[in-house]
Amino acid sequence: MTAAPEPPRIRKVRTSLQRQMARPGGITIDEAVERAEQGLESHRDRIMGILQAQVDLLNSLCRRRPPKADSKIYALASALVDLAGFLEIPPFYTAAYSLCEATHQMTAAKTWSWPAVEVHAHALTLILANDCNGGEAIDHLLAGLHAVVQRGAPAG
Amino acid sequence: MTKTPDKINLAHSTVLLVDDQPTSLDLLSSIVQGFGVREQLKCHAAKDAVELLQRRAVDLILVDCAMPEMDGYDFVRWLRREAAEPARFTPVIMILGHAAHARVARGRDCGASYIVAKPLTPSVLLRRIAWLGAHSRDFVEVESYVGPDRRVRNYGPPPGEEGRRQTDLSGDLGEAVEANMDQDTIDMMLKPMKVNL
Repeated sequence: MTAAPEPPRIRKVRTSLQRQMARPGGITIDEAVERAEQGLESHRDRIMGILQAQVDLLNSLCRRRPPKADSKIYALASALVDLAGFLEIPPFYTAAYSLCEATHQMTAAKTWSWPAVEVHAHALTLILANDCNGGEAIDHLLAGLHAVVQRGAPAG
Repeated sequence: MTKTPDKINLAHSTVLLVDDQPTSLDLLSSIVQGFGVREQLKCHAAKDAVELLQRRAVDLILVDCAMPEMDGYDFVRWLRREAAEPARFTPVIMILGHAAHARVARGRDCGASYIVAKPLTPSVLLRRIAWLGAHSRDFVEVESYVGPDRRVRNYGPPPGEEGRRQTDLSGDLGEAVEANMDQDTIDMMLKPMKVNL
């Protein structure tokens, strides 16, 4: 006979965060958000420099096409998403996220396609050259990347 | 339930930040500093965070999900199951970069209090922290799960807050839409009755 499973234990917990935050004082939500945004803005130039270096590395990998590069490309795309996710640069973020999706899908399906990576690298380069601004041309570019991910990249 | 406050007081709180990427850690630190946190501790590896939490307590943890060796999921699982009390109750916000749906579910099931997917805006992060500070969630311990009650969706967002999902319910109780049942009717509903099968 198997032992009956332990019944769930449910506890009311008041965390130390709740106690500390309940103390008098503090700043308004708007003020806190503004301060945090200013803090992020102070890193902007450095982050854009890092993003540019990573896109250059991506382009270099596309030119060399080393074997078994899937995990390297995914790590690079993921790092781009990680950093771009802190700044207000939606076109760049969307393109980097799309590269993550494409790489993830291709790795899972074992259908690696360098052209699918190259089109993303090209888009990221153009977006950076356009100071990460949006616009009709960038929208078309992003729609193209979306289509690549949606239809699943052909092997190549 | 109380409404999420318009002010936030983190001037007495210690926040632990865990991320293996130094630049991401710097950016996260900048955000938290802007929020007026009293003290922030940074770890570049989850294993360092484990060691730190065995020595001292913190009030809030922000952890990246993807890290080599011990990732964010394993770290939170350790915290909820193996850390001493009250450290194991510490609220955790898990930050996801490329967030496939399965990863969000994994984050929820390892015991994170909230999962925030990038792009990470200070506004979204602060709102989650404000919710953690203002609203209690039961702590559930069963064989397959240890952590804050995952049925938070059933309660809906806090009063005065808009949910993000179409299926979010409201946490507010509305006015009654019909007359209360009288006691006799309630008694009749509860009374055992003989039935012919």
